[in-house]
Amino acid sequence: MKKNITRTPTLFSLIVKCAAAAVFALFLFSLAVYTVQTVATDDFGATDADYISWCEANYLERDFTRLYEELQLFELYGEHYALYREAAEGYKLLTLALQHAKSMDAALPDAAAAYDAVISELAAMAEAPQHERNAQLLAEFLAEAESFRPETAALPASP
Amino acid sequence: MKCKKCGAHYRTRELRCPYCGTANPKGEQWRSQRESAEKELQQLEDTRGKGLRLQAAHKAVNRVLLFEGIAIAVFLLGVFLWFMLGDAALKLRTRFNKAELEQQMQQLYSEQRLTELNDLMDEYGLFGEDYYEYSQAALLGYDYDRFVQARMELFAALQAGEQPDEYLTWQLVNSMNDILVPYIPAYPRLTEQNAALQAEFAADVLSFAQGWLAFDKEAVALLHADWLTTEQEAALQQKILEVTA
Repeated sequence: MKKNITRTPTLFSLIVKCAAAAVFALFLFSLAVYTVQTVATDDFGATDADYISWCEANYLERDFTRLYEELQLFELYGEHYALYREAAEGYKLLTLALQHAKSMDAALPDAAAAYDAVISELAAMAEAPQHERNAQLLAEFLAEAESFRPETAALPASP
Repeated sequence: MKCKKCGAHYRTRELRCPYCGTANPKGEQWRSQRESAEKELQQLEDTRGKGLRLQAAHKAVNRVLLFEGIAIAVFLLGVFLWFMLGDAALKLRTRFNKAELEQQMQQLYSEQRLTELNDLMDEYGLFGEDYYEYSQAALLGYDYDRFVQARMELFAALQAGEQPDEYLTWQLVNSMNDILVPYIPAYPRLTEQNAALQAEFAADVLSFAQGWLAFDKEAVALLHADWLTTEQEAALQQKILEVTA
């Protein structure tokens, strides 16, 4: 037989509901915060102007390793970043020049040819930079790379 | 009612006869009944009031719960639609620009701009058997770029007169090993062109290891291990630290 049971609202059930409402509210709040953070830190948030400003800061601080890392990490290509790419590329060649100079020192085969090839590439970049602003920098890189040549100067502080 | 003493008529609820002052037991009785009824009524009203307040609170919390439920459902629906629509839009874009994308991939591959190739393929979800050679080259390029970055960091650290930290030495060892012994389970068989590419990268790594880091034969052999143990990694890292001290 069907009984007509009327549920009387109790203080306990109210407390349980309030607790559930608080948990859901907290969940919604964290979702909102997470969404805002995601949107703010994602591509929606960082514009070309932001990226250029970061690159410029690294360029001025001569932190070319970080510059290269950010160009790669944020996939920054195109004319806006060509100046920074050229500088980072020059720095990469500078490290390569040191590597080949040390290889020459260690009498590894083909090291001299590889070193000369890097110097030639750097010289070509320094001679006709894509961006005039890089001219001085690339000339410095070239001079430094040439100073690594074992016959002409002592190598910097590493073996 | 009629007073038993003076015979005057008065209301039953009176406690005494208003004419002679004789006590009226019925009036007493009436009064006590009334007081009791009033007390009972007051109790009933109190109880009902509490119940009503509790009911109102339940109603309010129910509304809050309903609102929160709707908000969560809308959020989840939004996320679902965002991904579904985004994915569908990407597939459409890839399908309509397939020829152009393939041309771009070809150009990037032939110019050895492997990081850009990797980024392009990643953006359009182009990895897979259809583009086996490009996929493999992009992953080889990714490993090589990790090595190049680590080498640049080492150079910067030495220029600044600093010792490379543990993470950098680990990066160097790990990236060199990844290039010398490429592990690409999705595309295991190196194509002819990619084998040449890998050989070029490997030559660069060996020049770095033997020239800059002055690794001996034993250390170079370790770098060629299929799987470097933690101890082997630590030994190679230690070698880098000794050499750059």
